Amino acid sequence: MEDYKFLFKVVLIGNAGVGKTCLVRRFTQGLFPPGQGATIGVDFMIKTVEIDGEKIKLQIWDTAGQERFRSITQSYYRSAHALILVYDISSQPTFDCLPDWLREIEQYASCKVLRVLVGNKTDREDRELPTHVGEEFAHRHNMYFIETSAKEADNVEKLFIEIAKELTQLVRSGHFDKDSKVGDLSPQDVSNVTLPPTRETRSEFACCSRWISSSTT
Amino acid sequence: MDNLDEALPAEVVHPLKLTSLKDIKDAYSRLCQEEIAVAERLEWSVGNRHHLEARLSQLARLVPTLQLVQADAKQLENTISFTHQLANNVSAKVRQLDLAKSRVVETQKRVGDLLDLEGCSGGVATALAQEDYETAAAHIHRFLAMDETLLLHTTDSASKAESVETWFDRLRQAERELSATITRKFDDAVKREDLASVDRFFKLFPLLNKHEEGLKKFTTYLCAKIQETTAQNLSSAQNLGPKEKRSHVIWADTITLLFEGIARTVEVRQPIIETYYGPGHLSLVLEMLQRECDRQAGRIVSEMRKHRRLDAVVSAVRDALRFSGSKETRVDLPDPRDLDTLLGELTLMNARAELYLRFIRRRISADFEASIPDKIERDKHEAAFEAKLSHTQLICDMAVIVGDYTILEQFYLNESFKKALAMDTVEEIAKTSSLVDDAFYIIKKSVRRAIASSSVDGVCAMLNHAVTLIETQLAGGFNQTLRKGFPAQGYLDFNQAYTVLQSSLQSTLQAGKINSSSTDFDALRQAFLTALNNGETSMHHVRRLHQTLEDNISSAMVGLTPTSRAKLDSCLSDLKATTGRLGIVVEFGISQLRATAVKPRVKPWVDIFTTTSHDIKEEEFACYEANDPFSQTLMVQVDGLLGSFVPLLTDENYKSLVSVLVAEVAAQLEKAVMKTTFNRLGGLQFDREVRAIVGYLSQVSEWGVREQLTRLTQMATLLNLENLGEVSEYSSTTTWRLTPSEMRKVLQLRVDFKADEIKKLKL
Repeated sequence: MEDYKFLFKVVLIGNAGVGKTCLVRRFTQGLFPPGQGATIGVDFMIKTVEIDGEKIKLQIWDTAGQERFRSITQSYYRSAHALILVYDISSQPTFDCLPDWLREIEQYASCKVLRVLVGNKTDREDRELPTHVGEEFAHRHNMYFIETSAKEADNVEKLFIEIAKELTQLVRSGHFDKDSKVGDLSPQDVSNVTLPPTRETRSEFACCSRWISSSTT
Repeated sequence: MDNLDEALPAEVVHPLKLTSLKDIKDAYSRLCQEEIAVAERLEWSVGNRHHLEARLSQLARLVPTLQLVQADAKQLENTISFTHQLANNVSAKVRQLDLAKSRVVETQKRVGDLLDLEGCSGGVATALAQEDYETAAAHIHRFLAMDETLLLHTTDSASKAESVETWFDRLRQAERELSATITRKFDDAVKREDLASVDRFFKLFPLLNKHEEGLKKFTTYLCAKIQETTAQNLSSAQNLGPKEKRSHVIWADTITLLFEGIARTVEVRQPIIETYYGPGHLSLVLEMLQRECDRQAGRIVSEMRKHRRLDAVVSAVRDALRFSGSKETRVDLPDPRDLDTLLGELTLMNARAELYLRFIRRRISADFEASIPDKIERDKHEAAFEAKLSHTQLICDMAVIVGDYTILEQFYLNESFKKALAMDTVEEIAKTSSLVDDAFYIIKKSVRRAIASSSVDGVCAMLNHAVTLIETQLAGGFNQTLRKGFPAQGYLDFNQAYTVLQSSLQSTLQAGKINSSSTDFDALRQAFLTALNNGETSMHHVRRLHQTLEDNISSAMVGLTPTSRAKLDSCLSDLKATTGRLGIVVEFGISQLRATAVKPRVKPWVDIFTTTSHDIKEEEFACYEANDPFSQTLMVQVDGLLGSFVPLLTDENYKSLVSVLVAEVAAQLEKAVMKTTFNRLGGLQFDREVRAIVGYLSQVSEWGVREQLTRLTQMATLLNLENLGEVSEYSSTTTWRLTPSEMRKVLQLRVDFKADEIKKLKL
């Protein structure tokens, strides 16, 4: 049995070609593979990080952006602890699709899921979406927000570490175990974290401003 | 003896430094010892004088002999240095000889080459004239192995050089001619479909060092054959009547024929290629074949899409899934039962593709193993091939098919479940309803079909959809029913209520009649108990399903990568984890049952205890012995309550009910005790009652349940004491479940125990 405190499922979604796979590769392997082909189905990677001296295992599901694989990718939403919705800051269309993605999240994901909006490819010269536009969108939809560059390894580590931190805090505060027994979740128990299907409670996360302010340094 | 002075310089101290008498005495004694030693030595030397003299004379005689030896040694030295020089000279000559020999060999080879060259240039012409291409190619092969410039330099005279050059020219021309001829003859053979000639000329390309060209031409020929066969298969598939035996899987059959055809081609051709071209050429052939495979598979897939109206079906289903909330259903929505065959065909197609790809991967890695000895280099080649393979059109087409399949399978799962829900019935004697068995049958069918497709993503997705179904529809549905509660009001006696429930149920089932207002309660009760049993049974189903699917996956999906295995394991463990969600629902149901069916029933029974005095006389005590006013009634009532639930609950739920009943009895009785007063006989009576109750409850419950009665037993022990002094005796053998303050409170219930004495007790 591996030694870790919590296991979290993180699922990346967003249009094809916004750089989901590159973000995951950068974080898990420290690589930026140029000419990355389109992801087929769902890719799966694991990385263990340390938060306050505790080992946190992140199970990262990198989904295909294409519509054709939607039934496969959607099946992962419900059990996700965090959903990373990615768009390309140099491509307006990828931003315009965000409401569609949010609808999908509303329909399939748990209401308790941690939702993070990521504007990727900040290394690009041809930016079409100013930071404040993404920030406002995130704010309006109660999401965390961060801009990254998988190519320059900018904010990628931060993105996942912040998610791990936030999720650890949420578990400790009992956010995920409304219906399950109260108490500290052991690693085995963590897969039992039940995310109830009802969505009567709207989660009240503090919003984006915290991340972006420290990331623009 | 001056060596004596030197031998003892440290000990000889200058006389002027001897200042004390002791020092002087010491010095004197030392000198005396020295004198004795010197005297001994002197005596020995004198005694051996003759012997020493004899030795000296011996030495004197040896001197001439030594001179002789020295002269001999000098002579030897000379000889050795001479030999050394000689050896040096010899080895230099041997080296020269070696060089000369190797040059001779080289020259021989060149002479041989020159002779062959002449022979070849002559032979090629005749062979070509006789259309003996094998011999001609062998000559050219020999010629290509020669080093032209070296041979030209070998000749010293201009005339000879000229003739060598003519041979070369002739051979070069012959090579061109032959290569053109072979290419032409090969193409002709291909056109004439002359298999023997195709094979014949294919073997000649490597002799002309045209490996790649030969392979390309040959593979192009193979591709053309594949194209031709597929075209035939496609047209016969298109013309197949819908009533024919295999028409429901004809497209899977057609694509299987394509894969089998390519595999057979590789199987047959690989040995020939290896024999004439050597190992390490398979990747080129397979890459070309794969491109053809991509094209042909694409044609089959698009034909399949057209004939099965796949895109229309998928888009209808996708909309249906997306707007599952809205009431209006699309007219073109397929019946899930009609999807069975289509789903089967789609899974079969992907399974065949996976099988084919595994074959290709195995072949290529065997070929690399034979041709590249270095492990790192080999892995690099394999990775490069795999990268190309994983982005081929075939894999993309199949991924899309799996995507479409998953949408349809998800729809099939959800719709079949809806049907099962609509047709949900409870058999007369059954504790669960048909929904549970049906739901798990459907889930198993869907996931197993996904497993049959060999697609890891497909299986994972269906496992996830199954988890969603179990948690939202099953657990969520049971939870909703249980939240409505278990109605207990309306009947004072549960036995009676139960009889009415049974009879009204029977009449409902038999005649379809619906009774008056009591039926509403009955229906609610029935629904509640069914949901409770369904929830508990579902947990068993989940565990069994998990085990079955895990076994199916391990046996059906072999050769998985570690990543694929990890994906499957993660999704499988999610399935298993649904028992947690179901467990919470069942637990909630049991707590509801405790609140409405157990608690209010236990209360009047315990009230009897409160109304029975425990401050009693001898006669009453004796009377109670024969006719117990409380415990007998309690036992009869508990038995009645439990008995009424035996036929209504599953074993596990019944055990849980017993457990909450025991807990409730214990809790209420504990409270009642605290409101009663006891004298000595009353304590004895209470002890008797508790023994009877514990004895009875232990019989009907499991071992763990008895733990809940320990506190009550200990209360009885305290109330049954002769005097307060016995407390300490019990304390030495008992682990008290009661806190010291609780113990004091209990002891105070005895009218004959004095409060200040109880206070003084050490607990």
